Parts: sequence; structure tokens; C-alpha cells
Amino acid sequence: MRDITVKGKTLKRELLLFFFLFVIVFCFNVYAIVDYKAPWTEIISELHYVLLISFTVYLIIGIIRLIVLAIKTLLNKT
Amino acid sequence: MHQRMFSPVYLEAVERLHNGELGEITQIRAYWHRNNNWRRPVPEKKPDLDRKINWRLYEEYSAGLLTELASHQIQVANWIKKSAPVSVMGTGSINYWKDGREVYDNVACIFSYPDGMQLVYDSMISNKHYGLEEQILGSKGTMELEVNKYYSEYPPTPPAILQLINDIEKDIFDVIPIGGASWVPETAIEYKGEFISDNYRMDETKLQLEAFVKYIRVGKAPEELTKEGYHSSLWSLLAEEAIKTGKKITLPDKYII
Repeated sequence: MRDITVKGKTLKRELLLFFFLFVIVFCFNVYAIVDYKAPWTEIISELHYVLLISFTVYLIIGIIRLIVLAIKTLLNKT
Repeated sequence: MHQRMFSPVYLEAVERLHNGELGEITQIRAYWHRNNNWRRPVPEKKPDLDRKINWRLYEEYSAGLLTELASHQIQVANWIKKSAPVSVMGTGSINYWKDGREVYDNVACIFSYPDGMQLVYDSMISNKHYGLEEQILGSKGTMELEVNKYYSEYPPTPPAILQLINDIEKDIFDVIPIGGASWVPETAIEYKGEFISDNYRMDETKLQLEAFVKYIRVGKAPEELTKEGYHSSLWSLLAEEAIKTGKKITLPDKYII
């Protein structure tokens, strides 16, 4: 079996992407709090939802990236 | 035996009701539905024992559903209201188990309380889908005592972010009506409620028997228990009279205590 090595650059890029998504979902939560007139404590108390949604979006984007990568590889071979 | 008075769930519920947690109690609905003929087997060689063995089915010994089942739930209503009813009207018939029994196999009654609140009651033995329940309806919430449930009229709203996601999901996937409905059915709200008490696993019959033994030992039982038993039995029998006469029955003076 071949070891999978993740380069520091790749890891940094993925972490940055996840952080970017987290910030977007966090803003999304702030908008929801204002729009639904919810208590501001939900910024902290609902952080687990923000994290969960960020992770879900990251996964969805990951799947899309994999599909794009697979198509690119196939095109390059032909 | 009115064992619900010894149930931790009922004790906690009644305390919360008396503290006004449900606001003003505006109606109590209670029902007890079974699906069986209520008969016990009679020895083939002694058919004359039927009336003794199946005493619940004969007027000489029983008022049927009213004294055997309804009395428990009338007691609960009286306990919650801290009062007995002031009148009862009702109807009943034998519409399914036409096997020679004398007591009704279905009854429906309305008991009125001094403050104008109604206890709406029904019992039957030809369908068990809804089982039994006492539903306490108040201006601030509802309690279903048999299933240990409390439902606020103002259920807690989910976090804003979930509401937003839910609304986006609805916008994307819901069907857009071309002609808006002029009336939307007011069906029950889908809200799972909260438990009234955590002590629901305790056996109320066992607790009642323990209390009974204790009362024998001390040589005295609380007067309230006797009063509860008296009023629930009395109003079960008055309900029977209301059904038989087809009239609204009020409490005769001679029964006032």
C-alpha cells in the first residue's frame, strides 16, 4: 500500500477554504439572528450548527472538486 | 380505587396546574376506549353464574363504563378543579355488543363545573385506537396526563439559523400554489411537547397499596381521599341517571357534603 502524503501547502489551502466557509456561514447566522429577531446569544450558543453547516458545505464542495478533477484527468488522457 | 392520586406524574401535574402553569383551565377532555366484550369466561356447567362473574355488565351490580372507567377520570377532573361538577348531561347505548348485557357499551357525557368549565367525556368498547387519556386544556398550554406530556401554547422557536435554512428549503422545494386557498385547515400543531415528570416508571397501584397499608397502621386515612371517592362515584351514578332520563341532572341537596 502506498502512503498518502499531504503537502504543507495543500493542507494550508484546505484549512483556508474551510475557514473561509466558516466565516460565510457565521455571517449567515448573524443575518438569520437579525432577520428572525432572535437573541444575540445565538452567535455563541449555535456555533455547533455553524461548524456543522460549514463542514457539510466543505464536503459538498470537496465532492464537486473531485468530480471536476476526475473529468480533467479523463480529458488529459484522451 | 383511584390510584392516579398516588402517581408521581399526576401529583406533579396537579401541583403545576394548581400553580397556574396552564393559565386558566378552560376544558378537560377525557376518554377511555377499549375493544373487547368485557366478558369473563363462565363455566359451561354453571351458566347461571354469568351475572355474578360478569357483574360489570348488569345494572343490578354496575353502571358499566361509567362506574368502572369514567369514575377514575371524573376523579382526576375534580382533583384538578378542586371541585365537583354542578351538572351532567349525557347519552349512551348498546350499539355493538348486543349480547344480553344491560349496561351501555358506549357513553358520552358533559359535566359542568361551577366556573363554567366543561369536562367532555366519552367511553366505548368497540374501538381502542385512541386508548385512554385526560387532556387538560388551558389558556397557556395542554397536558396529557396518561402519556406524561405537556405542550405549551407557545412552543420554543428553533435557532434562527435553522429557521433560515428551513425557509430556504421551503422556497426551493415547496409547490407554489397558483390560486391561493381561502381557508387552511386548522389541524393539530406538530409539536412533540415535554415530559411532565421524570418519575413515570413508578407503579401507581403499588404506591397506592403501600399508602393503604400505612393508613391502616396509623389508623387514619386523609379525609380528602374519601371526598374524592365520594364525588367521583356520585357523579358516575348521576351521569347514568342523566343518560337514562335524557335530562340535565344537578346534584340533589341530600347528597351535598
